[in-house]
Amino acid sequence: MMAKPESQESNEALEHRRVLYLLGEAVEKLVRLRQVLARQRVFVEAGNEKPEYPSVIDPLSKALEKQSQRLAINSARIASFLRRQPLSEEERVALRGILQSVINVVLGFHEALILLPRETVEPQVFRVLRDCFKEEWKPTPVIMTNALTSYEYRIEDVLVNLDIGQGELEEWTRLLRGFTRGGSILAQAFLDRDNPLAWAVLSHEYGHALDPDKGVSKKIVYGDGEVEKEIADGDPKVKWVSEIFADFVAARVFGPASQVPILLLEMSRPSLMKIRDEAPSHPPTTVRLGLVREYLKELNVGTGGFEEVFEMYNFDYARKVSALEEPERSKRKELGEAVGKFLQSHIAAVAAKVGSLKLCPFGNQQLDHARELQKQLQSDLPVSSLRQTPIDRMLAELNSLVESKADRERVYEVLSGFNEVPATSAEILTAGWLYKLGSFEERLKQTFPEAGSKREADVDEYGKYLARTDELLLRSIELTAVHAEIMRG
Amino acid sequence: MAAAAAPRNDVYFSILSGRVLTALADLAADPSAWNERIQKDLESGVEYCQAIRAYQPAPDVVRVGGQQALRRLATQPDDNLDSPVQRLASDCDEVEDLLRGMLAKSREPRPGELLAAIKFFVKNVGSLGS
Repeated sequence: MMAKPESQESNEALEHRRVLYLLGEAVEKLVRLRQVLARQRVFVEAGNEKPEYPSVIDPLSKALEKQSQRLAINSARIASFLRRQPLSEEERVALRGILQSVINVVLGFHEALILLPRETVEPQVFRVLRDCFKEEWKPTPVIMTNALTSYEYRIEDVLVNLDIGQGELEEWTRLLRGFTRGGSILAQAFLDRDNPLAWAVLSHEYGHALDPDKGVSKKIVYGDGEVEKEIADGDPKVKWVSEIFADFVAARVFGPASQVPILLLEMSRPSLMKIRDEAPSHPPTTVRLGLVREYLKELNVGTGGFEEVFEMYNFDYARKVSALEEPERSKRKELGEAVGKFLQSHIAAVAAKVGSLKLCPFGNQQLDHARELQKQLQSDLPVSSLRQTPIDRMLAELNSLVESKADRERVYEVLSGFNEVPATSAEILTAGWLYKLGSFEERLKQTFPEAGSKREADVDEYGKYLARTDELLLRSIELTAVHAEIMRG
Repeated sequence: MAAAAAPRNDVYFSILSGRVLTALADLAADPSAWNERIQKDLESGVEYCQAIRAYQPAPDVVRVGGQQALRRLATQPDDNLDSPVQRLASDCDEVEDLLRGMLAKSREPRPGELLAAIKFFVKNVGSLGS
């Protein structure tokens, strides 16, 4: 048999990884939505008599149960895929569609949660934001919302995304005139309430709050030149710079992990959105990702451990572009080139502005710390602190105490090496991502056991893994806050 | 905002396509694996085809007669399955005919036909609502 060309082999490997990520997203979204509904049911049963709530929860729960069953019915196929056992072309192609259908259904149902009473966010989210933004943090509400309006920070964006008619939008704007600039609000998807790994996206949103009325972005685009406010507000170049500014802020405080949640979310979308405007408000994500990677390189922050996700995203994007019809494909390519060229000439100014902010910067040292903490997560331990003295040195010192019959002062001197410093929130979340990216495949294999195994496929198995990871990270963020407080004396 | 508004997907079509894709994959793995669940899932495929015709505005398409639509789908490269709904009406007719024939046990899928039907549903689960 002839060997496959290298590029084909590499594409097949990338495609396998892509479907693996798709599977991970499908199972995760499904179990997280089930958890949200389970909590809602407890809330309703605990005394809220409004009869309309169960009538929303019950059909959603049943429909989600059917999606779990859909995965269970396909478990032999999924198990073979995970173990790289041969599947017919029919099964291989169908599996991709089945996983996409589960994600589509879950994300669709996520919109309906807006009909239920809203939960409050986990308090740790504020600790993370305060920790990252330091002096730049101004208390800002974080609310839970549906996927469509999540990860927005201004009411105008929420309204635009609701896709209401132009007439209604104008009416809203009129009603809210003079009110909307009252402050920022950070919107988080219901699904991500307990998932600190997704919170990195909020740092991008808060980046927008550090560019009020896009004043910073306008200054970068126009310099000191005077431009009419209305023209500047509608200028797509200002909007592109504001997105890159927020991306760089997120990268500055979270490093490479700042990109991961949004890339995974976009990868789980079935197709690319049609470009409706001549100059859309958002630069293509591949352009943004490329610029953030350059920026991190400039800051000398490594991306090891995250490169696979970045590569996977670019592969997925190229695949979706190639599936577009010709005029759309060319339009996208031309737009990407034009936006990329424009932004390239402005990134130095954006980076300088971000560098001047009083943030808690994420550097290579933080990445090294995160790698240390990742090992603790692998041992199922919280990751709230870092030991200043390496354990092998501590062991040597302790041994020397025994051998030398040291006096009390010397004993205390050695024991002081057990001192631990609290980890930063960005280190904790980066450790969480490194741990998850390195472990989710194995957990999926446990969730979908090999054919002939005594155990049956059970998505709750993956749910337990997610819940434990969430718990360890939430507990760590909480502990680190207490630890920092104690150290402050 | 972190990302431009993402495509919205139709839950109803995704539920139906998840079902029919499972049934088609089961039959591709084992043609004798007929059971009540597979039958119901194939019926979901027929429902899908009927609904999609009602849902989409009459497309400006060149109708491809006979078995050509299925043949074209079967040979379409794997990485181009998420393409926009092209020749939807003819593809839909062909796939529905195949499913009805299988349900009536009057038609055994010819080589490549199951793959073609699978590609039809995968293509649409990736593009509806975008």
